[in-house]
Amino acid sequence: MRTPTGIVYLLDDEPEMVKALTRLLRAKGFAVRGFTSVRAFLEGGPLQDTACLVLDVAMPELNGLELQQRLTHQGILIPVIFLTGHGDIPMSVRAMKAGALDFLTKPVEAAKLVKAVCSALQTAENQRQRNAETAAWAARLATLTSREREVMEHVVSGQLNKQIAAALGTGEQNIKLHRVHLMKKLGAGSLAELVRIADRLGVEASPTPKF
Amino acid sequence: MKEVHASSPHSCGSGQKARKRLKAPRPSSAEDGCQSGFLPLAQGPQSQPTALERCVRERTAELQQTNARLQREIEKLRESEERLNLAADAAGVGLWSLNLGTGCFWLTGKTRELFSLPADEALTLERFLALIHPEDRELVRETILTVARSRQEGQVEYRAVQPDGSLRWMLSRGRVRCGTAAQPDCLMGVTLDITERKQRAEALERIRWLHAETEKIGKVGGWTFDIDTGQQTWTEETYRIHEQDLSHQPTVEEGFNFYAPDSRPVFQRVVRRAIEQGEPYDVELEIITAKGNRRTVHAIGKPDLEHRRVYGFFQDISEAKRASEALRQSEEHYRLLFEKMHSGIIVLEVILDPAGNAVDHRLVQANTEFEAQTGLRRSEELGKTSAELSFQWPDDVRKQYYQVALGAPAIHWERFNESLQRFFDVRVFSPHPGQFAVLFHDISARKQAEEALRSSEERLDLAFRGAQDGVWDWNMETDEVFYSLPWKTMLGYDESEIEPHIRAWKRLLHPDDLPRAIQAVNDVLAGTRDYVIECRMRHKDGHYVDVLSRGFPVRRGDRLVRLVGTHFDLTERKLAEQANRNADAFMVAVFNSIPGLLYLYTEDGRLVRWNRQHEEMTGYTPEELLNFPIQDWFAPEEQAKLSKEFSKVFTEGQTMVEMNLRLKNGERVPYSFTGTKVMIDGKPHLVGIGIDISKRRLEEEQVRQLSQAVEQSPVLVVITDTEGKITYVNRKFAELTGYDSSEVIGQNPRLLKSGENSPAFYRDLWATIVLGRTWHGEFHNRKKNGELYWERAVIAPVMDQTGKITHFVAIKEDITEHKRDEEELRASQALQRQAELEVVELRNNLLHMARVNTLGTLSGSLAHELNQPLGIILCNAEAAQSLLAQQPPDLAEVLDILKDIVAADQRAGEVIERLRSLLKQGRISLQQLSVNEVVNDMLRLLHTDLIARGVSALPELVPDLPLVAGDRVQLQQVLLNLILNAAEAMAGNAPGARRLHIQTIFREGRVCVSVRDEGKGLPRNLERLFQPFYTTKSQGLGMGLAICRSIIDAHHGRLWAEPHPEVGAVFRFELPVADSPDQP
Repeated sequence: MRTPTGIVYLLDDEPEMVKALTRLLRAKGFAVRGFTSVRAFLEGGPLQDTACLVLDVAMPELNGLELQQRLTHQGILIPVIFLTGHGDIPMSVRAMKAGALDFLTKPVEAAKLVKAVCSALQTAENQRQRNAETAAWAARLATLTSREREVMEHVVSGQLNKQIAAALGTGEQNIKLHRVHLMKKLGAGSLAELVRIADRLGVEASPTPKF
Repeated sequence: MKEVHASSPHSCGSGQKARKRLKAPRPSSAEDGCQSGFLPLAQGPQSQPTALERCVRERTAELQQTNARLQREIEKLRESEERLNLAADAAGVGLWSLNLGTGCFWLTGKTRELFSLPADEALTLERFLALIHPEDRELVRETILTVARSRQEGQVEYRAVQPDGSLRWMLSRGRVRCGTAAQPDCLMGVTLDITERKQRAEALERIRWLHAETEKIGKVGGWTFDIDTGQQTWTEETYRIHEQDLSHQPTVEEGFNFYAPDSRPVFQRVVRRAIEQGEPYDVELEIITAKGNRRTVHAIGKPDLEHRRVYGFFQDISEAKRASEALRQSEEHYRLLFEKMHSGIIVLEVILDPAGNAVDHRLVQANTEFEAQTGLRRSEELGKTSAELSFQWPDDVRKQYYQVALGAPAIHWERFNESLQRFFDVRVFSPHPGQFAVLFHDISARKQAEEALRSSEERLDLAFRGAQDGVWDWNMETDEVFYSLPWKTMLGYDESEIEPHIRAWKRLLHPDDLPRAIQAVNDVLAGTRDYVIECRMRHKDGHYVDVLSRGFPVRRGDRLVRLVGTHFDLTERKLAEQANRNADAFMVAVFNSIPGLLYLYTEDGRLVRWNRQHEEMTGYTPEELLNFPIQDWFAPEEQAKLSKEFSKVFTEGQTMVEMNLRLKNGERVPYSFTGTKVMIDGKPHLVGIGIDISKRRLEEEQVRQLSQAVEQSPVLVVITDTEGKITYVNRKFAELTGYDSSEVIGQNPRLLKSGENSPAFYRDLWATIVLGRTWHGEFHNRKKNGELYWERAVIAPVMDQTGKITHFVAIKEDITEHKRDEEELRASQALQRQAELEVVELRNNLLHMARVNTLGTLSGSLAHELNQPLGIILCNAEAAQSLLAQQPPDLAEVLDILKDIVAADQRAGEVIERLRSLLKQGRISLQQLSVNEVVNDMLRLLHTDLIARGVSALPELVPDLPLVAGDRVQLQQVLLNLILNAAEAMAGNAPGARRLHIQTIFREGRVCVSVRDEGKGLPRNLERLFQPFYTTKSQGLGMGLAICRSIIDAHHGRLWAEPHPEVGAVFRFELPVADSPDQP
């Protein structure tokens, strides 16, 4: 299995544990940064884009679940893998609901951990790419003229050129032209793609007129 | 013919008949003709003498010729006369003439006929006058003389007497004929019979009179109206109707203006139609008379266009109209009255037999109320006779009603009608002879109420008389009190000795009972309670009589008007009770010796009898226990169960239930209660016994705890009977093997056999355990899904008190993983084995530590404490493997790893050691030990647990404390309990405020340990904390502190609790210092 790029943050209150896990993951080819307290982790500078967090649930200052909530609250959507000495079902349900990718019980097997970390990094990578794509689309969307933007809103609501022309008070031929232009500007190859882009960027579909 | 001869032409003019008075001198052509016919005849020539023969002869011939001619003339005249007579006869006219000289009449046959005269009788004037009615005779004579003198024509009407006496009216007319001397010589004339004409005229006059009279009576006035001239003609009555003077000539305008303004258009319309189209009309109109009165007329008009007129009549119908209107109103009034009256009314007519006896009746009228009251349909009853009607009267009643119809006085009574099954108030009267009306209304409800009242009064009266109770009746409105005679005699008084006032009652009431009685009266007045009290009333001779006083309020609307009640003399009952009490003494002694609660409850749940234990165990005084409501013994959550079981006693006879009895001090004690229904004084009661089952509960709880521990334990537990049949497996067993407990109970554990173990192996196993020894070994078994696994097992026999084996218990652990890991890491293997052994040890401990259930609490921490070093080892080992696989391997790193592994292993070993010491089973073995060490061990063990609870531990341990003599495990147990309690007490605090303070000090030859929390504090009764099953935790068992105290007691120490001056609670224990440091 190809080791994904990205960094693994480790957080456990026991230095020995951090050390052991760091060794293990490094030996498996991951880039690892270990922390023994929440404070150290939070003060450790900005997180990398492609990263995941292996987090011990039971810690003295702020337990793992609370840290996860705080991160989510701050908009840091880093994939989290929980480790616990004695996990129970309610705790794991809470963690998974809050967006944890995995919930592993100590002592954790190397294979399980590696698999979970790979998956988490992949998720992070996907997310990163998706964000980049969205940003690119957003930039393209900004290049549309206001008329093209209007036409787009009608097109994505599934209206026919004729309907759009009637709604905007112009000719059908004009609409066709606008349509070609905006598709080109957005790099959308098909109507389906255009709808997907609009959806991702939150472009609101203009309501279909009622006859 | 003779007459004709006699009347020669000369005598022709002589009148034969009555003279006539000349009235209208009019020439009559008939008489003229007659006259001229007679005249030539009257002058005939005479014959000459013979002497002159020739002459004579000539003359004679002439004469003969003349004679012949005359003869012919005469013949003509005779014919003419005859013709005239015939014509006159045919016309019914008699001809006559009267010779004025002789006074004789000449008459034709018709004339004779008129007067019924014989043909041969000559008629003189005198004779003629004799034939005339005496009243008319002079008139006739006069008329004849007048006519004769005046020579003019005249006529007279008179009555002629016929031979049979009847009268006939005659009209005679005549005139004079003059003779040669120009002197009148006769009267000539005609007579005709006018009797019929006279009769017609009379009839006409009678009709006219009748018409005028009837017009007047009927108020009918006639009129005509000439269309062209507008002239109107009214009859007299028309004038009267209009109240107009008879001389008034009405104009056209008046013809309209007579009508009232509202009637004019109608009249104009009908008149126009009459004139233009010839339509008759018939309308009722209003007129206003000349005197201004308003009248209603019935106007009928009929046009006669041929004669250009309209005629008709008025009838004044004002009075009739008024009368009919009045009648209509009156009828309407009565009809409404009849229909709307609130009583039913029916009118019946009696049917008489030919002898005039009333034999039957027929319903002729009934009003709507009749339907309402009887439920019968009017339409179906009307016209029917007694046999057909839906309601009947008995014969005697019927007869009486008939009598009323025939004139007897009216009847009024209340009767029950059998056919309708209802009571009626009935009035019978005769509205019309031959009829009777029945006016009735339904009074069934009132009758029933009366009946009910009467019977209720009777009942009450009887009841009072029978019970010999004293009755009192306090009228609130007059403030008078009626005391019955028994009420007075009960207290030794006569009828007249008690004043009828509430004062009397107050005066006689025992002063001690007065407040209670007054309260009871107030309560009943307020409606909060019934009035029932037992009180003492002073007898006339000074002693007090026990009286049961009951009362009930009588309300009128919302107002309380009376309080009525009874007094019942309880003296006899009290005496009887006293007697019973003596007889009961033995029973009471028996009851009181029962080692449990004995109780008797009434059906409404009040405690009435109990034994002394009841008082002692519950802590209530007898006064408090009397009438104690059964539900007050139990907590709200047990009320539903209580009421179910309580009612079960009365429905099914008995019950048995376990519930928690609440003592006076608030404590709850589990009890087993029995209840049996018994009848006492005819009333159902509940009798039963309650047994304290705290001990049993405790044991059950311990068993439950233990079994729970086993069930929840992370190792497999299998229990079989001596045959080897499985009787129990725990959850872990199911998890691991995949077999549900239901699948394996009753099966032999060989179900799991994989065939990997040899038969000798099993023989050895059985040989060991049947001898009562414990067997250790490993199985290679097969799961349900076919997978093989390794398990390490400890199998031990369980013996009963006699030493007989009853079961075998197998404690097994899945060591498959360990087996696999053995090859990988020796160090780890060694640790594993040790851990396994420790776990087995722990299992053994568990089985024996029935009183100590800490495993559940510790399992989380235990796992973490062990898993942490194990996890570190595992990670490191795997990292090392990876590193060694690299080319070139980083051996320095591997060396470092191995160091860490050793460290982790040591740490795990320490954990195990601590656990082992804690869980070590056995008798108390006092050793010299450091209390600080024990505290530190415990804090380390609980490290994770406290983190999880958000509790920060703040130990303040005085160093160099003297050693104490103690059992490490047990002291750890005490600390564990105290620390966990403290942590739990702070669960409700904010995370930053969960501080746990642990101090050790040395004081007065004793080592003292205090565990303080910052929680909600302690209950008031501190000692209760240490009682078994006392708990403030929702899931606690209430055993912890009790066990702690027993442990410290066994160490000759002391354990107590006290509230902290600031916040929270402090638990302290102190232990004596060990006598000699060398003593083991």
